[in-house]
Amino acid sequence: MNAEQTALVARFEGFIAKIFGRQAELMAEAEQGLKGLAAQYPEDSLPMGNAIGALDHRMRQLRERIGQAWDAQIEEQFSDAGDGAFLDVGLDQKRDAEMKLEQEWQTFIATTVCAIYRDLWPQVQAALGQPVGCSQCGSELPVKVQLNIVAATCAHCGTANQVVPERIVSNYYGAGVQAFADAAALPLRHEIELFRERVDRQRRANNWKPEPLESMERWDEMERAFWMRFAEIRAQMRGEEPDLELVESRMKSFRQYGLETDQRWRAKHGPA
Amino acid sequence: MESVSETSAYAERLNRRVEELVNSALGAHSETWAVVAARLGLEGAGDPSPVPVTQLEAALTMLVAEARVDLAAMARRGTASPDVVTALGMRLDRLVAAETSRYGDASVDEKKPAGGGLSSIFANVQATAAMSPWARAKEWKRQVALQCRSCGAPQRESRNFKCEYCAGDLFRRPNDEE
Repeated sequence: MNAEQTALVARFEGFIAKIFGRQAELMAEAEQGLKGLAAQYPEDSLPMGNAIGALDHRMRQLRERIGQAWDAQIEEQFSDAGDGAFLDVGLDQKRDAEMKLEQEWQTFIATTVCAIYRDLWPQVQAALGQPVGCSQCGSELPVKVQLNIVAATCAHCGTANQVVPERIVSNYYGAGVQAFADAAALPLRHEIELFRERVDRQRRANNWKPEPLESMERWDEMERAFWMRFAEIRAQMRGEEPDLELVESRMKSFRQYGLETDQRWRAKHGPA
Repeated sequence: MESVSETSAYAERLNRRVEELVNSALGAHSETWAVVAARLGLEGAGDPSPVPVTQLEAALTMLVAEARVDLAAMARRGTASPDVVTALGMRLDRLVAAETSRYGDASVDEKKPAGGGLSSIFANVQATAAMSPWARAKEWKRQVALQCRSCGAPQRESRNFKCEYCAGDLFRRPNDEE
């Protein structure tokens, strides 16, 4: 790159750095807010979920500023300063920044929510040990560790009680387990996203030749690894067997829409 | 005689200079803010990050002052009609306020956070959390037992919806009369 191009890249990087700085500020503020919500509503995942939905939207607006600045001002400067190859430098710089911003945000949310649920564990543990009495005669029901709704017949009066877990237990083993599984699998999802971006750039460098079949097979393996990780963590936390039906249903959908549009894949692997 | 090319060139030059100023303040221009501002005559601007709105406002005011001089000269020469002079003059009247507002929307400096802080999000969540049905429930029980609608006896076998005492229905069927 010549001096002008180097300066242009550096100035774009400076602009991008401001966006990263702003995201970091918002993440610090968000962490306090989310922990406050969890402390106030330990039995209910809905407030935190609502907040995360709104925060996701705010962060998306922040990321979009990179694209807006690119479209309005920066793309023209990159075009004027060089040929198509230099424009690609700018496009890659933009795309790398957008992906990194998004992945940092997702990692932050996953880490923060996991920390919140880990902090809830002492309360959950205490709730798990709570006895429950018959709705008719009050005698203690034969209910052991309970993660789901169970029917328990009273040994004294014979009443069939429907017993639900304590709400904090439902929250932990529902939304909490989901959060732990999401967080464990998230690095694999990020690897897949980076892998797909590298594949696109390799194709661009090769005059847009089709992706090699080996690369698609690698993608298939990575997707399976992601879903297996998710299913294993969820099962481990609930003391169950991994939900292989979930994994296969996700893989079927992925292959149908991600791989089977390629005739070479269909010729070798057939339909899902 | 009015010269369309001269008034067009004036408008284009004005637009280009405004874009140069705002983009350099945003850090999205090949020249630094210090260089661009100094060219206008704004001494000692430095290269702050972010560029304060007040500095941009001062620079835009100087640019507008220069543009007014050029516009007056065009009017004296007769190369811009009164209508065009009026229209361009009105643009100059609004320019500083419009461009500082655009800069404020586009910038991500601390004084005007992108999209504002997050307090409104959490305030909204607090307000809606109080509206959820389970938040407003007066009583919550872990254990419930179905009771016969005829005699009040409790259910004694899970998934058996006939009363063991009176053989009535634990759930009244849809077509039954009250």
